[in-house]
Amino acid sequence: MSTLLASALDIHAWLSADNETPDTERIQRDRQIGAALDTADDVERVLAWWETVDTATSDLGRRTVGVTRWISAGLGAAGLIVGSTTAGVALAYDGEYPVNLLALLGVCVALPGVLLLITLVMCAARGSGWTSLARGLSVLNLNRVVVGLWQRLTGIHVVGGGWDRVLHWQLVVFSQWFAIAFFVGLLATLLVLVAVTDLAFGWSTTLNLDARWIADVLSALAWPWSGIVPTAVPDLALVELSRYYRLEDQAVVDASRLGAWWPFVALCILVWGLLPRIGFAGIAQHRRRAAECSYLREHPEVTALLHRLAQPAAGFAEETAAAAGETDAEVSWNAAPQTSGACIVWDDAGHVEGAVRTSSAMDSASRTLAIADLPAGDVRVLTKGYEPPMLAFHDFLTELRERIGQEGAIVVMPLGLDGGPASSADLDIWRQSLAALRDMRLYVSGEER
Amino acid sequence: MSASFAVVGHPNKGKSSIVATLAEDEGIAIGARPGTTRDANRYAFEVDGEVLYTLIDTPGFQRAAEVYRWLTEHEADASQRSDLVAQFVEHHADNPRFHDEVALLSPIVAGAGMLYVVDGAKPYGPEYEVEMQILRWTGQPRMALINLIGSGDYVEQWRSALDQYFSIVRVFDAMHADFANRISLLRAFGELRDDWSEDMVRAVGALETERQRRRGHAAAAVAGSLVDCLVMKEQQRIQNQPSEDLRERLEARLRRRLESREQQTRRQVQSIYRHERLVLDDAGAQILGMELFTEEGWDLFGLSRTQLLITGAMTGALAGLGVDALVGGASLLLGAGIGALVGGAGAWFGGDELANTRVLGDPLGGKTLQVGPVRAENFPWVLLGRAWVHHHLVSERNHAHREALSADLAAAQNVMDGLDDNLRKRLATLFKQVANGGVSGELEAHVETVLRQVPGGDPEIL
Repeated sequence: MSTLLASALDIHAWLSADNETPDTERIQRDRQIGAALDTADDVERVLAWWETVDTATSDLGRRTVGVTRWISAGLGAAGLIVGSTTAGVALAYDGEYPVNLLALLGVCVALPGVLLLITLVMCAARGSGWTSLARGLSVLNLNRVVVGLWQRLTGIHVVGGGWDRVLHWQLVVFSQWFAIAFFVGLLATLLVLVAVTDLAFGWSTTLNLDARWIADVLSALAWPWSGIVPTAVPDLALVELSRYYRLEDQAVVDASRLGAWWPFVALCILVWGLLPRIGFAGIAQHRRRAAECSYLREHPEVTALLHRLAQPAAGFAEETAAAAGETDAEVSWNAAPQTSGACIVWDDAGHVEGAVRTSSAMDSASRTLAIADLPAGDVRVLTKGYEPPMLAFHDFLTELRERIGQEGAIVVMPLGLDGGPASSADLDIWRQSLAALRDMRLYVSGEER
Repeated sequence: MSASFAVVGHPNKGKSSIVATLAEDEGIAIGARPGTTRDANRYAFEVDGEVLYTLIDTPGFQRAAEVYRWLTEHEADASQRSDLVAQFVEHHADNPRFHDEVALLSPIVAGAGMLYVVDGAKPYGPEYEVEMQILRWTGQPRMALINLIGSGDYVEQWRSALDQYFSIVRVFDAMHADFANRISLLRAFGELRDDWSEDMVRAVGALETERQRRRGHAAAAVAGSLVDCLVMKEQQRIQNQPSEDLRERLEARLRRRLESREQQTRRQVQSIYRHERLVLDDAGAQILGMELFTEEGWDLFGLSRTQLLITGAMTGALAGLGVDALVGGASLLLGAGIGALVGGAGAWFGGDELANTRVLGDPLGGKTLQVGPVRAENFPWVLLGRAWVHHHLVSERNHAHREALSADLAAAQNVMDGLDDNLRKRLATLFKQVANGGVSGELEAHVETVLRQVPGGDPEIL
């Protein structure tokens, strides 16, 4: 048995568990492997990838291989036993009446041929989409019990995704394996009996059949080997000679001539029994592998894997950036005092008559100069509340504190776009930022100016 | 050397949002307080390990006037301005007072182009001019991006000011930019310098391919989930006749497994689109968090009774037509007629049937109670509809967005309404094949077609 199915089962299970892995990791891992692969065949690429990543976490595949081997061996042994037993019964000859060729060929060639025909119809029905007919015919195949046992022993719980097709061909492969062993047992027993006993073959029927007609039918059966082994083609004389009736006294003319049938019988079993089964077993193996390939490939996770293997990995390399978001510490501010002190307008935040105007575009020397004439006492500073407080503004507040002394209150008044107080969200930003100055007489006011 | 672009500007103007959007990184720190970004963070765009361009998120200017004063004080003539900026960086590398400015200017001095970000929702102020002067002194290629944070519109005012300092000025709403906007911006990056254009063209190509890959992978994930859910069943071996209690327990277990499988697919789709941290807000939860088996959900996500009837009839007619063709038309299209009747009737009467319960005989002896698979005609459509809504929200979502995933149910209609009849018919056939254990390769391609559908004339849920 190929290990393809085992790999497919393991790969599907592994990939299904792997889909919790971040996509970026999967892309990096698989593309690295894919870039080194030199085959274009999808299945071969997946199997080569599997050899690289296989972490041997699942024993489902190994169990499947083991169970399949054991069951195949069991079916082989059973086929040999059944074949030998059937041959023993069909070739039973106690010297009274010869072995009836018609019964022998019916049991050893015609009946298995009918079973083969049913299997072929089942396969054709399945291939044509007549799945109900195929399922109905599969009931006739006793090997479905073996397939049930195979599933139970392997512990496979797969449904859908083409699994039915794999099961179907597994059933056919098991059937052909049993049939091959059956015919080998049959042939071996025949040859042993031919070698160690004096078998005599004849033909007998209740039907009123003409010996010539029987000779024609048997010659047709012998057509495939008539050119290679002409001695194994029965002639009319032998056919006429071999007819017998159990009520008549058997006056055997030439007993050794009745034994000459055995090459014909052996070749019938070989050509019409064993060889078709070997041929069909080969086809079934091939179809099972195709079904396994399809089962492996058709899985959506495998499709995605094939993309990852083939497509260049495009993306941003990992960066050790700061963690997302921020957690602002709670900042408590006292209410700003009402003040009518000097007014400073920062960055053109508003228009107040007589106010000192300064901005972040000015360097510290220019700013110091701008506030040089401020008297000691409280100061209001109007700012654009919708702009963030920058360190240049911190610097200015520090300079301002030095200028007005420790006693005076500095009331920063962030304004909104409409000239009124800034939004509470913007006020929070200002409070959070200015808290870093640790100035007890610094206030952020959301009051009207 | 590959192109690199430093995203610079005033604090809190959306520099990190732009980087998060372009780099598709929901981990980039974005905060309302100035100074959230303290150091220059590099994000290299690679294709198979080859860096095509690098985005550099930088802190904002804090003491631009001080920097400008130093530069003007040390200026000899205009030809040395870029060297002077490099000298400033070198001279103040260890000065904590200019930490942000050094972090901001270092990559530019090293050869990076710059993307100067302003907020077009707030008015222009002269205090920005000193920043633009410094950037001009660097002599490096530069582009201005007018980001939009809020509802104000001062874009034209900004444009007039920026046009004087920057060769390219573009409006780019970092929070709401879709894939096409991002691609357009990257193309503009390539225009900044001739020797960057080839790499940027390749980067754009790689991103477009990657976009297709993501949709394909998302389709594979959804198709895989559909396959699993359509054949999922619960079984238990039994000795006697099964009790009602056991049947209910198996049914509940089946529902839980189905819902868990759907959740797994959603996580996978989010991972494909780099949205691993995404959560649902109240509105999103109302729609996407709706239990799988609710009448409301089935009405919203599945096919209507009439659509089921039509789809069933069309699928049946198609099968019947095959029979008509087999007899060379001698049946006078009777096969198609009967097929349509049977298909339609099956869809109409079987529409509400949920998981069927069966007692199975085992070929090896004993009995097994089996609940499922869910055979309701609408079930795969409901799954597909839910997956479509989730995929649409996730795939169009911007990585600068930090709010929970939201969906607007105000104009909700049946989400599968926009599907083309032929696609619906084909999907119905594939759902049946998959439910019968058939292969599912073709399903993925059709699911991808569904996922590619956009709202507007199509489903109107969003």
